[in-house]
Amino acid sequence: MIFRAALIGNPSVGKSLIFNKLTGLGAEVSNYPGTTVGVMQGVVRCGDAEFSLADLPGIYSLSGDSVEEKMVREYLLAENFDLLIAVLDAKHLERNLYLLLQVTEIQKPLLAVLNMMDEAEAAGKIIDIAALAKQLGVSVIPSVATDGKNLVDIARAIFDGKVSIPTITIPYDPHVEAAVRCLRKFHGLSDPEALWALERVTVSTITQEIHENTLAVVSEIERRHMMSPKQIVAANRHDLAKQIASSVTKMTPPKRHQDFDALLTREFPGLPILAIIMVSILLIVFTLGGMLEAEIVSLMTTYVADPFHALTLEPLTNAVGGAIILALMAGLGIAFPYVFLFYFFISILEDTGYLTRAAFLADRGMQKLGLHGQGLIPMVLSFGCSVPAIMSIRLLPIGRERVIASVLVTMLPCSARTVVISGIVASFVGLGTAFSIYVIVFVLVFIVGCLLSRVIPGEQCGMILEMAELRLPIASRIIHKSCMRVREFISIAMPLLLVSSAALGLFEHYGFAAVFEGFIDPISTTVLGLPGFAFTALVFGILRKEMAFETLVVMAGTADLTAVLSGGQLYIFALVCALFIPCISTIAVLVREIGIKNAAMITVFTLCLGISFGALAHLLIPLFLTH
Amino acid sequence: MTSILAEDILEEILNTGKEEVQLHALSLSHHAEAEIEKTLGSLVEHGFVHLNNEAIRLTKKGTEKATQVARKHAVLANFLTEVLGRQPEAASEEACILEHNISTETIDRLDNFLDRKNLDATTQETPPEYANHNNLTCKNPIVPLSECPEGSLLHVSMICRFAKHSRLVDLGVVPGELITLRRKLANNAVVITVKSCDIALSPEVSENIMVERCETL
Repeated sequence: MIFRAALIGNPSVGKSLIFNKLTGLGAEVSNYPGTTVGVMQGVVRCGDAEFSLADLPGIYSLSGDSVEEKMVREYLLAENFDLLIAVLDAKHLERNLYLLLQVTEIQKPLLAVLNMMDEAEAAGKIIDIAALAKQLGVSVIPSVATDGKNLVDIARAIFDGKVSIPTITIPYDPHVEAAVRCLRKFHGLSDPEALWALERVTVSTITQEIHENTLAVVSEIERRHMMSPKQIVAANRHDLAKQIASSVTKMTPPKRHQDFDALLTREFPGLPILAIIMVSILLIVFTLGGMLEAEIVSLMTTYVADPFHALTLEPLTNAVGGAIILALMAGLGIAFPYVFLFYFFISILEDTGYLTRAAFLADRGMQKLGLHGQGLIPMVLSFGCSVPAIMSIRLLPIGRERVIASVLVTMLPCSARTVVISGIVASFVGLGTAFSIYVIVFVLVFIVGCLLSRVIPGEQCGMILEMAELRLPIASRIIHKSCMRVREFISIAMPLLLVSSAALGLFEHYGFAAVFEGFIDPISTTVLGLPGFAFTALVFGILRKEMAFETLVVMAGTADLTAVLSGGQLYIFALVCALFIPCISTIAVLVREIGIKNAAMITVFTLCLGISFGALAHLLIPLFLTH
Repeated sequence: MTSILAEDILEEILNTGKEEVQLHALSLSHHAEAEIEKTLGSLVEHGFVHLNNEAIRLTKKGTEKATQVARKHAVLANFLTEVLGRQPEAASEEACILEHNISTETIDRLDNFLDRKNLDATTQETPPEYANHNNLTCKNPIVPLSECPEGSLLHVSMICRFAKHSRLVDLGVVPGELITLRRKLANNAVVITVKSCDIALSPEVSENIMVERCETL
């Protein structure tokens, strides 16, 4: 059987980069905690020899309760690996040793990689590798992953079998050690399991019964120490980590470097800088993305759609083929201009380490909506396109916040909805009226955010976020990352887009559209005051929001919409379009990120919201007009 | 069930140190006479005191209750002065308010805590250098992290509502650790440096970290 190794370490220490360089696969690398969500698998080959390598998400401890920490804990318990490679950030050796010490207790062959040696050196820290290896009882390889320095040594050490089980033991408080012995004896737990039980961490192999039995011991220790065993155990590990780190590190005066944080994390000029950066990204993507999208759509129309229709195939094939081309246009029209561009800029922010600073500054405002500072990114992205915005929701640490953010992101007007609002209301009714739609949406977002943060169970937690080091971004990595996101988006959204577009095509082909129009016309007229064809156009907007506008023009048979619809009707059309059902691509991403149940709930919620506000507008507009 | 005034009366009687006291000798001047009389009546009714004309005497039950309240007062006043660094008079005044609403269990724990603190201060069995910052803190008052000025060097004393912020210990914010307050915004969101890493904290987190200011090295 193939030899299996796994990379483990704190967030942003270079695990994914080492993984990429060793396996040649593309794991996403970033300077932001919590970006590797699943476990990446790859194979390292060196001549004839090979071993498999897993990239575990970055964590701070094996006893935490975040999704990543649970995942890693269960991975270690399942024992589907032969050795662990612990990656440490040499500059922050002490903090990184804390996790390493916990990992040594797993008692599996361990190899320590001391990464970012260059940064440690620049900070004036000289680390005695041999002394560190001796104290830990494992081989330690110094490396600079960004330059690929010494990475071959990692593979070589594994092939040569130079990896041993660590010999170091952590001296715990006598009471804790007694409790561990006790749990080992009576419940047959391993040392790490016994410690987890004492720390009151949920682990699949620890039964409820063991937890209940441990509770008595835990409260006894807590009573004697005035501190929970979790804190005692953590303090013991930190003490040893401090001892080791200070005995192997020699400090020399660091090279002087500019402290940009003096500018970036203060209210002034930090907040204006944040606002400028966010607004300019939005503007660039808005204009550049809009241009690119128009270009892609017109190119595809000229070179694919028009020639296809010119073939004059039999009507059924023509309808289905046309629908598929439409779906491709919709997908590519979002993927490259929006997903790629947004991720390009967000990756720059992420890799420079600015994103963590932005989250810090935005924290207060976001708390009102039931979110963290980390919720800023999805909110800003959502003005461009809901798809990358929802993809970025995985930056949020807690499930509850992911759901709140998804709802708000789907409600905020993306650029496509802006096209509808400006194309219909601003040009036919008036700029101020168009603006009022935005106001309505923002007020709704605010109300929904406040409500959800109270209604959704779970406590609102404060943000505890490690600030990433400020670094210069590397262009190739940013492009690579953005491309990965585009690929991801296409693979998620394309199938759904194709199917739904083909379905709508057939729907039209068999004349169901006319039947639907006839059926919906009375309802639509009474509830929304919109003729049936306008409602059908809204339904087409589900493929791509701009299509609601385009279809409306086609169905109305004239570009001068005022000839067929009154100002009030146009307003209701745009309002409903802005609020109701997110586009298919968004739904696909929602399903992927927060599950089918939540995605369905959001879809139904927005549908109701759109229809009810449309109906409300239908009732209120005549009142306004008579005054 | 005894009211605040009732507890005050019992405590006052105990404080005089006499078997029997006259009602007018008690310093309860800031209460209305009618109210005192009414409370006294209910104290007699519940068997806390014997009333003989103007002379009041504590029953066994009354003495017990009075001792309990007095102990709470003493422990609280001690905590307020010793740990939080309040002035004795102010501490006593505040203890008077707190003593009525605090549970016996909390008082027991607080008492234990103070004992341990005194023990630590007297029996210095030379703990390793890295764990001992007593020489730096010089018994400064313990305050929430959010109340310290930017740039100060701080000694972590304890973390309130620990279970909610358990990630803090993994990042090295444990009692006994030295941290630097790198940045503080107007809303009390902070950036701290712990173990040479910068960590951003929301106001609700920074308010729950109790620290002692250190004299700068």
